[in-house]
Amino acid sequence: MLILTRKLGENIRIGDKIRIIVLDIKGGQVKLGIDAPPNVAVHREEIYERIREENRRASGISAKAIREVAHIFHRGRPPSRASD
Amino acid sequence: MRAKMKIQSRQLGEIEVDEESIVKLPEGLVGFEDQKRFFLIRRDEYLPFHWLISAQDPDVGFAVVDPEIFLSEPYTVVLNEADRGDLDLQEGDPVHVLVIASPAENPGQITLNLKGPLLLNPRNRVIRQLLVYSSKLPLRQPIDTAAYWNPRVSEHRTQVRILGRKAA
Repeated sequence: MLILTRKLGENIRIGDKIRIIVLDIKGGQVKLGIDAPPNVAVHREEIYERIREENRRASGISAKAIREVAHIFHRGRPPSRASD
Repeated sequence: MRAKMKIQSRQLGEIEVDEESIVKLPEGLVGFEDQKRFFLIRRDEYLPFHWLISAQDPDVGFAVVDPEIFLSEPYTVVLNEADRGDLDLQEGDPVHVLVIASPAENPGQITLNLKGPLLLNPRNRVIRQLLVYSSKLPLRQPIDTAAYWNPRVSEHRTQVRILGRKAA
């Protein structure tokens, strides 16, 4: 892993399209600004991991489970809803 | 003429699909980045759910739904400039919100992932998964089958707020 030391206001460049700026350092927190092209996804790692795990779980859903929910949904569906 | 083909899906068995039902996910889904083309499949027996079955690996599949009908609260997704990315969304473009269903602890029950909604631009059939940081929106929202009996629910619409370019 490359390790760099930066001061407040200094930048890091990754390639020619990504720039990371140290905006603030307070207590145990560092505030970073990130300039990246729109097609580069930038996320806090913890939420990324949670969504990844949930996507993995979701891919295990069965057709039967969905059919049952759909069935309950249609059985109870009031006719007036059709006007939507 | 539509090009129809048969695929073998782990979840749905053998199904007939056609090219026109393809949706593109330039970034894949989180954790499934390699899967970039899916069939968006509508079958009466699963409605209001649709299925996203990977065209590259039909054993990868997800059940998706517009969450509105299962929620008693409005669901608003805020899309910032960076999120617009590959969707190529312009202000005023229609955009559909889908969320992914997960199996719940109890068999026969499911939850909806409101933290990782999928946005579909019907114009170019591109889907992007959004990561929502709001702590108010759960990763596992139990479905509220009573919600659609409540007439007030029809006033709620799943909303997408598209933030414009940087405010001056």
